[in-house]
Amino acid sequence: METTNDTLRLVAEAQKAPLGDDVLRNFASPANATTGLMGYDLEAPSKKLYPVLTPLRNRIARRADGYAIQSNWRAVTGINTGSMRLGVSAGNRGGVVAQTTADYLAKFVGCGLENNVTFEADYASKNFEDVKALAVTQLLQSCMIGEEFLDLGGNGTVAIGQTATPALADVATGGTLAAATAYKVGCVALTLSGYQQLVAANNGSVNNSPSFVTGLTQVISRTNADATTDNINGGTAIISAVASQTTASDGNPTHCISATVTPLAGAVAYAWYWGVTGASTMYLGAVTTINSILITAAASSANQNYGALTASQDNSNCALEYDGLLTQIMKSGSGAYFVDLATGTAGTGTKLTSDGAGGIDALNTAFASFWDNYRLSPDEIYVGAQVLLDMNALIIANGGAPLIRYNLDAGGGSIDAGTVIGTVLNKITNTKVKVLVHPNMPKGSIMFFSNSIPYPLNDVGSILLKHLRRDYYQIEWPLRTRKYEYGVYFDGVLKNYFPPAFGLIRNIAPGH
Amino acid sequence: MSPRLLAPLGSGGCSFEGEEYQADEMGTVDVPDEAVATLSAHGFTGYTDPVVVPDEAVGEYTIKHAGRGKYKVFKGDEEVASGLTKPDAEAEAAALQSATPAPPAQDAPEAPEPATPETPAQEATPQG
Repeated sequence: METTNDTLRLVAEAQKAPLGDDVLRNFASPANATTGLMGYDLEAPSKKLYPVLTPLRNRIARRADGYAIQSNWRAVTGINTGSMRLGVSAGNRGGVVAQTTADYLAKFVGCGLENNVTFEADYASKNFEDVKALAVTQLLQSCMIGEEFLDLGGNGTVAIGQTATPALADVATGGTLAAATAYKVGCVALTLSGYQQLVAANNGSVNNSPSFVTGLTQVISRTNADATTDNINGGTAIISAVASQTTASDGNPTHCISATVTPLAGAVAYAWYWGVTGASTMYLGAVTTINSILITAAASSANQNYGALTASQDNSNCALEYDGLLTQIMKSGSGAYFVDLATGTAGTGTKLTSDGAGGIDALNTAFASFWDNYRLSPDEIYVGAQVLLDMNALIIANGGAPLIRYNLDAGGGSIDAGTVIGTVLNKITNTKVKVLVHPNMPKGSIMFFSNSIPYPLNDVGSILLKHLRRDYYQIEWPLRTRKYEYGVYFDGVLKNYFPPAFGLIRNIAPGH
Repeated sequence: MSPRLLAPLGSGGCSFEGEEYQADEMGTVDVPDEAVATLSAHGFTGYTDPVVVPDEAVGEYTIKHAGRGKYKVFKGDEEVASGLTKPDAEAEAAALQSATPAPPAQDAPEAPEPATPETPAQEATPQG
C-alpha cells in the first residue's frame, strides 16, 4: 500500500487533537491516597513516639507487704550523743552512754489512671493493632511516668505558705516601661507540680506548649471514670500581696522593674504577674526558676490575670499524693542538705562557679556539709539539661588539656569535638559522684541522691523504698456500656530512711 | 535612724514589703534596716554624706578636694592642675608659687632711714 501525503496529513492532525472521554479508557494514577484502584499502604501497628523516662522509679526498691493506713518505722539517730569519755578509774565501771531515737511514718496513697476502648474502636482496629492491649500498655506507661514525677516532686504533706511580697526597684534603662507610672507586681511560688503544669512538662509527649493564657490552675477539679470528682491542688503557694513601684519622672519610656522574692521552701519556680492598675490588669508574664526577674516590657493582656487567682489559698500540697524526694529534702527538720544560691543581681541571679581545680564551688560546699555533718558522700547528682551544660562548661573550661580528638584517615580528617562529664569527684571522700540528667528536674536545681547509708549494721537494705500495700495491677472493669474499661493502679508510699543522705541546691541561674 | 541607700542612676526608687520608697533628687532613699540586704540585689548601695575637705591656700594658689581622694590646684578661679594626690597638689602649688615673680618694687613701702644710735658703743671689755 502506498502512503500518500494526504494520509500523513490526516495522521498528524489526529495526533494534535486529544481523544474524547468516550475514547480514553486507560488507567491513570489515583488523584489521592483513598481513591482509585489501589490498596492502602499503612504500616501496622502505630509507632509510639513519646518518651517514657523513669530513672528514679527504675532504681528504687519496691516491697509490697504494706498494710494498715501508714507505714511506720523507728530509727536510732545518734549514739553516745553526750560524747561520754572512755577512761575508767581502778575497780570502777565506765559512764553510761545516751542515744537518740526518732519515730517516722508515711501514709499510703492510692495512685492510678483509667482508659477505655469503645466496641467500635476495637472493631475498626482489626488487622491494624490491638487497641485494647495498647490502651492498657499506655496506661501502665502513663502511671510509671506519673510515679516518676511523684517520686521526685510529689507533695502530700507540706503546705508551703504564702509567697513573699516582691521587693521592687525602678531601673532607668534597658526596657520599654513608661516613666512616671506605678507598676504593680505579684508573684506565686510553685512546687514542681505547679511548675510542670505551667511549662507543660513533656515526659510522655513530644514538644511542650506552655500557655500563659491558661496560666496557673490552683485547684484541678477532675471528673473520674466513675463520674466522681476529685479536687487536686495545682502546686501553687498562697499568692503574694501586690507590690507597687513608680518609675522615675524622666520622660523616658525605657524603664524596667527589677523584682525579687524571698525563696520559699518547697518551691522550685516563681510565676510573675505585672501591670499598671491592679490585680485584674496584672498579667502572667514570666515564670522563673530563680527568685528574681527583670521586667522589661508589659505582659500580654491576653494572658491570665492576677485577679483570676484566689487569694489566701494554699494549693501547694495534695493529700492524694505521697511526698517525693524534693519535698522530703525541703521539709523542715529533714536534716537534708538544702541551700539556695544567693539572689545575686535581680533578674540575673547567681551562677555556678568553677573552683579552679576541675570542680564546682557549690558542689564542694555541699560535699563538705555531707561529710562534716553525716560522714557520707552522695552517689549521684540529678540535674536538668541546662545545669548539666553549665557544669560541663565550667569543669571542661577549667584550663584543662585540649579535649578535642583529631581523627585522620585516608579519606580526610574529622574532628570529634566536645566532651561531657559523667562524674564529679568528691574531693573530700575521694569518691566519684555520677551526674545524671532527669526529665522532670526543674531548671536551676541540683539534687543529691544516695544509694545506701555507709554506716555499719544499719539494718537499712535500701535507703529509699517504695513500700506498697499493692504493687501495679490492672483491672478490666465489668461492662456497663459498650466500652472496655481498664484501670492500672498501685498503692504505696516512698519511704526515705535517711533524708540527710540527700540534698538540693536551688536558685541556680543559667550560664557559666 | 533609717539606713540611707544610693539608688542606681536614674532609678525612681524601690519597694519593700509592699511599702514604696521614692528616691530623692540626689538619688538616695531611706529604707528600713531589714531592706538593705534585699535591695542590694537591685543595685542599691550604702550611702554616706560626703566629707567636706577645707581648701588650702599656698600663696596665690588654692588646693581644693575634687572627690575620691583627688585634688585640684586653682589660681583664683582658674584650674591649673588636677587629678593629684594631696601631697602632689601641695608640691605643685608650692612650685607654682615659687615660680611666681615677686610684686613690682614701686608698690612696696619705702624703707625707713637707719636709726642713729643714741647711746655710745659699749667698750670692749678685755677678757681675763
